[in-house]
Amino acid sequence: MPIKHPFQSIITNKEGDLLFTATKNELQVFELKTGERVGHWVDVFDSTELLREKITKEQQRQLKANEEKAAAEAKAKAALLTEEEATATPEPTTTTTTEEPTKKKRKSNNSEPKVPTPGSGAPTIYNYIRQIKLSNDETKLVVITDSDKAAVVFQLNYDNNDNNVLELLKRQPFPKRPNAITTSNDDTEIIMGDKFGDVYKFAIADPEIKTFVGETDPLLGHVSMLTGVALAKNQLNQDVIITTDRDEHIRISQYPQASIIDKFLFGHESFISSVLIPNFDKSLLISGGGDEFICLWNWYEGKELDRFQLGEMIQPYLSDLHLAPSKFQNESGDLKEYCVAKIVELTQINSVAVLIESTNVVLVLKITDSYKLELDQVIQFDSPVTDICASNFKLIVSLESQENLIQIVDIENKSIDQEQESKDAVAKITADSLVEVESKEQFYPLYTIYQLKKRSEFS
Amino acid sequence: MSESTEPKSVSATPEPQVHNPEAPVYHPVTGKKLNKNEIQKLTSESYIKRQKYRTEQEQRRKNLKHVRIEEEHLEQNTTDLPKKRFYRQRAHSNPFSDHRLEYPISPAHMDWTKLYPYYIDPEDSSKLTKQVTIADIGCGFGGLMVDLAPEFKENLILGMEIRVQVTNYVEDRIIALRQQNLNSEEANYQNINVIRGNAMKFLPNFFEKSQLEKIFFCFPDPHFKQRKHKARIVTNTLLSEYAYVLKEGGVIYTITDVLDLHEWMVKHLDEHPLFERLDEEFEKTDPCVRIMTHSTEEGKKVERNKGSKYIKCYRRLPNSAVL
Repeated sequence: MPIKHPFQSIITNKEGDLLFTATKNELQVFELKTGERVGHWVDVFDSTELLREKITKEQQRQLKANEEKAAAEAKAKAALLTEEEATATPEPTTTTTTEEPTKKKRKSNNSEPKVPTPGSGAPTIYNYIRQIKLSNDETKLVVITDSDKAAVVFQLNYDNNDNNVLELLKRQPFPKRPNAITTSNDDTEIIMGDKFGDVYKFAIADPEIKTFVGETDPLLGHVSMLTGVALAKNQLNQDVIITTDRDEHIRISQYPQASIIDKFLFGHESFISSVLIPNFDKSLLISGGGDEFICLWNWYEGKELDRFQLGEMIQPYLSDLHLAPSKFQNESGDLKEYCVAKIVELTQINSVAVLIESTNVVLVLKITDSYKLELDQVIQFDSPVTDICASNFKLIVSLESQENLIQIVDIENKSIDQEQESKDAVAKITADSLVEVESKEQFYPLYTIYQLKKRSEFS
Repeated sequence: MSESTEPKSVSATPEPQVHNPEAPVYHPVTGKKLNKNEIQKLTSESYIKRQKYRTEQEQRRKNLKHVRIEEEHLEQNTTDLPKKRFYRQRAHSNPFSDHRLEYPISPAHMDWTKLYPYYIDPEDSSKLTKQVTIADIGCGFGGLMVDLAPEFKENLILGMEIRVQVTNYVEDRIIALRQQNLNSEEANYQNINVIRGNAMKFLPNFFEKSQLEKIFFCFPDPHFKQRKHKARIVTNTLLSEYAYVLKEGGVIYTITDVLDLHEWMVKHLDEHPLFERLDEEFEKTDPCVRIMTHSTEEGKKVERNKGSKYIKCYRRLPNSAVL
């Protein structure tokens, strides 16, 4: 029996009336009040075409190289022969030298490029949608896709008659796999960080699809996987770009003059997976990742204000899924590892919601007037949470569950919204989400952030 | 794997206990099963000799690495300079891999007192009286630092090297030099030291903003293949990090014997808004250029092979040059 695929990634707008979801290679937009599906897009990009192009190119390069080599060899052989004639060396050496080039030649004559075509038993190639992001003015949606390593920009058009708010604007491929995306403060540009550590930008309005070159085009770069990119304004009201990486760095540079690095926020001891500058106090920055703590910073001054230790309090919510791999396990075999998957702000109550990967809980941390992080509430669900997002009034969690794909949490009460209207909407969204698979094995890999942990040995 | 192959002793040294060729042999430390080549390598004379030397030196290094060398240490009679041939290592290292490196969480966490014990602040023994202001990125066997030491007595100089054995060599070399020149007027080598690290990833973990006056890139790995170009030590994105640790007016020195790499470095430095090319007059008169041209091991090798050396220096411009 087919089962519902959970949403791997969700976001909502500030008003909280729309929910944007990514499920495998599909985007779905729901109205949160009614649960009505108002937008849909499937990434049907065929990556075999790209592959074919690449292989043909490589083939041609090899052919050319072979020809050159053969020519050089022939030349060398001729030289050798004349030399041999002069010195009159015995036969056997010449026979061996003549045999080799002919063999090579036969190979190089085979000029039809071989493009692998998947057979019947071959695994399907998925074009996963990795991340979704709404522009600041909430008129555009940006997603990053796996298939062609692209950023895809949509215009949100609510007057559309065909019941689809998503209108494709632009698809911009990149040389390396995108890993983080955001829009500039004025929403005219898209800024993307990739797995190779480089950050690129492009203008949405520019009709041209650029071909980026890894050597010259990056806006800035880390020598580490980029895990996050965010735009903000500093205390002087200048645009800055905040980039985070797998090597514990939070870097703040000017934007768009990103060659000027303003500062680093040092303190993390493991990778960073999520940073947040809350709207209720834009001098603050909250960061988390592979560490057993969450940091609160005054990023204007580059000062760490507080550290919230997850240590003891998170233990009851961890399961066997968090056991460290055997190679890194302790002697008693009970070492559990966990990481922060996402931090979102709950503006109304000066708090943040924190999702720890592969758990059933969301932590609500309050930022006190003396700039401390305090545990306010642990909200528990009956299934693992895959992602969270928040509007001004509601926290929405996406669940790995067959009953409800999402749950809506009332921020004031910090508990699941009990109103009938909200319950109906959840039920309708669950029913209307049409992405189904045969078994759990076909799910998008839902919990992968822990893989960023460094496992190398001392050398 | 990272060991370079010593000239193989062909005479396959007959070991006292001859192995039964069928019986598996295991590595004494890692316990891994070894193949024929590995057995041969591990039992070769040169390997055993090298290991013995390395263990001895390591012991000595442990004792002396972080101490302020005094007269008493000289009695150990081990002030010979280390022998380079025992420290050979493959010339390349992957800067993207996360070898478990030791690096400070932030510049404030860096304990410099262990590297420059002569400059410990008498009022606060956790601090130095001065900061490191000269960095040699990819210092190799340390030739440049050794020659810079007498020239820049008032500056602390730090070499960074990613290869373990080579770092060990430089450490041993500095220990020996400090011992040999304990009372020397000219240079006591207390102002130089080396750390193993990946400067491409972690330079800002070691140095504060605008801390450095000079950064040297001497004969860096050329990374010829196009797809490896990001592994080069000078790229437009990394230059921003170098600009961050350099103070205004600070200088980047580059030298290489590979024309292609030279052109690459010049192109990226020319294009970077925070650097300004220095003219030939500077190259002629600056003492560092002279030292850099003639003192590094690579530089000497190039001279022996009658190769060319390409030099360019750049000054860090103020941020206002961009805005």
